[in-house]
Amino acid sequence: MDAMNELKEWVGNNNTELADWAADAEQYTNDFKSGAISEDEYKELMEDLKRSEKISQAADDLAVRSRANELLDNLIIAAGAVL
Amino acid sequence: MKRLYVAFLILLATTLQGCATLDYFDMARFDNNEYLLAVQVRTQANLGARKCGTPEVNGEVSKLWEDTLNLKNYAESIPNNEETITMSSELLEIVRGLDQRYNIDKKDVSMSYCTSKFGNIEKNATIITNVVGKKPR
Repeated sequence: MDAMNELKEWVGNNNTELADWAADAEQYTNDFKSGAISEDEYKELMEDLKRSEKISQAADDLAVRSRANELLDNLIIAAGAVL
Repeated sequence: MKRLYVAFLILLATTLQGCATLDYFDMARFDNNEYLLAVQVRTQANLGARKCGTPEVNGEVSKLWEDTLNLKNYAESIPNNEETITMSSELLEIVRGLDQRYNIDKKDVSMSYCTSKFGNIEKNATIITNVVGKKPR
């Protein structure tokens, strides 16, 4: 099994974000094989996917933290109204 | 006064559970300027993609680099803003590759690379804009 098929199988269809990332990787690989992009362009685009993953992780962390803060703020407001 | 008392009780409770819990709630709030800078990066990535394959693309890349650097530098100046600093720093590294090819090395750049690169930058800038826009007010 080649690396691309292995990647697709691993990602499966259960995780939208990973599937999106795998689709980009597949597109870049096809572009490279067809000669539409050079080898160094291909390597750079694949490195960008790793950076994109870090951005997604930080975004998820920020979204959870923002929601937790909002809930705490609401709790303080609600408690203030009761007392 | 009552709100202050309740806030004090909650703070005391979280402190008793450990300082890490308290740190978790100590975060940078929504900032109009930061949000605008993120939107500008997203917009510039969209506009730049339209110029792929034309001589004007170099100028668009320079503007994108400047906008992304502005976002990173501004995010870094805000205390307790770790996630946004991480996101903007990683995005700047993605943009750096584009700027390097077009404006520093002045290499021949393929059309597919150009559109893929701008597309990836716009996608990431959209993610950043969405979460920065939802920071607590």
